[in-house]
Amino acid sequence: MISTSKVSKRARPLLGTIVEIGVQDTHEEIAQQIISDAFTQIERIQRSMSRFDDCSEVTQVNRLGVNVELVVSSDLWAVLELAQDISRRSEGVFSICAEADPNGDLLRLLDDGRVLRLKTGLIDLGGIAKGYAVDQAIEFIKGRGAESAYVNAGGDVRAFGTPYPILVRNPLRPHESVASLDLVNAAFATSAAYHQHVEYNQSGIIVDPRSNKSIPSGASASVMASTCVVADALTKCMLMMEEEVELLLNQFNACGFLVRGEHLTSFPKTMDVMPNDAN
Amino acid sequence: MNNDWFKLIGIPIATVAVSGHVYAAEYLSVEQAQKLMFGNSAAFEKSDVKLDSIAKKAIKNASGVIVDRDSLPAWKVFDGGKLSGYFIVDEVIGKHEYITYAVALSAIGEVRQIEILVYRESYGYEVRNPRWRAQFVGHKPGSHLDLGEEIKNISGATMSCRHITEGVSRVLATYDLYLKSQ
Repeated sequence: MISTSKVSKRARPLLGTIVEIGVQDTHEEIAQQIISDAFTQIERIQRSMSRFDDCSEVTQVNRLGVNVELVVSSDLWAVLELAQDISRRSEGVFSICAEADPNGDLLRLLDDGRVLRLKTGLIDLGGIAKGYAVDQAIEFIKGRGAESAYVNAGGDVRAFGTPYPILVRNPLRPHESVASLDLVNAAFATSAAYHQHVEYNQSGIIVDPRSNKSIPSGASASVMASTCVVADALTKCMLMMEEEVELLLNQFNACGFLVRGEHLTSFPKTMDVMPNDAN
Repeated sequence: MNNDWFKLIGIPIATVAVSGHVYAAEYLSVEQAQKLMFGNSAAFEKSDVKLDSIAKKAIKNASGVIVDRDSLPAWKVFDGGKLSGYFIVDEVIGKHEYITYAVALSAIGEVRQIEILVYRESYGYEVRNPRWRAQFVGHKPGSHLDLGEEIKNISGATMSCRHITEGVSRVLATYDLYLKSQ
């Protein structure tokens, strides 16, 4: 379908990065209103999930005493549930524990939106909160009947309608790209350490909770999935699991590629499904 | 169908020494941002803050952030004849990025909203012709292709809002020391 309507786009500093939202609608004023309201959704999730905000739900969960319960929002519940699921499927590679501790869950998720603190330790939702916020904004925009839209939170992207072109940076040389793609009704995320002028094999900023060692800089992982929260989580798994990530990607009907030094490995290696058929 | 959802391009998206194309996103004009943040009925009265060396020093002391401009574009905003807030346009420069943004303050100086007006990356994205490759080896192939409007979303950037956070602290100090009393 060819549309003549214009894309309205705006950007705000949110979620520790710059969040850009573009909405295509035949009426620009409507598009602008949808964008404003979508930012409000992201602000709501930021308030719930920031580890550094004294009033956030995550801070409340972090302050919970052992064996104490708390009722959390459906948003936080959804993110915790997904985090637990990916943590189990990845055998502890993925973790929301701020301090690396692979030995069991900090929380148990109970019925009716309750969480029970099992042991002490801080949780940090990090990138998956960002991915979830992108998903919520996209669902909200869809619900408002826009033709086409994208939300880009510093590289955690989801789009529907018009294909959204993306270039992926080279982790060794951020001035260069390694790949390009058109995102169609899907989400995409990249995790890496950039801008540090590091050689491959120097230690990076992402820590493997199994070994407590950091992942080398100069590697980047990109994942396309139907939701941004899954795409973001799987990039962290890919950096740590490398070749073993393929099974996990398959379980989420996701695909991706890992760039290490001058090498790019794509997953799945023999692709017979396209991941962007979820919408 | 094997892996055809992305293309390996192994090309410079920027060549530092070449001015070429700058990655820039323009979101809102000053007028659009004013309307969006304060509504159609608001009246804007220009009230720029002059920043001499004393003011620069005072603002830096109060906010911890260096002041490099000689004047801060600011407006007092009135609705129905009553002061409803302030509208300020500031710029921050990071290592690679250059951001112009607008801050809406309430009549008592609380941050109501922040909107980015223009985002630029100082890499200077000069994009060369994609060469489709079966294996990525990191070569730098030749001829030019204008990045233009086609591809401008770069995944894997560590865009940080730290500089904006600092800029807003500086704006609030400027409001507190000068704007509210002028």
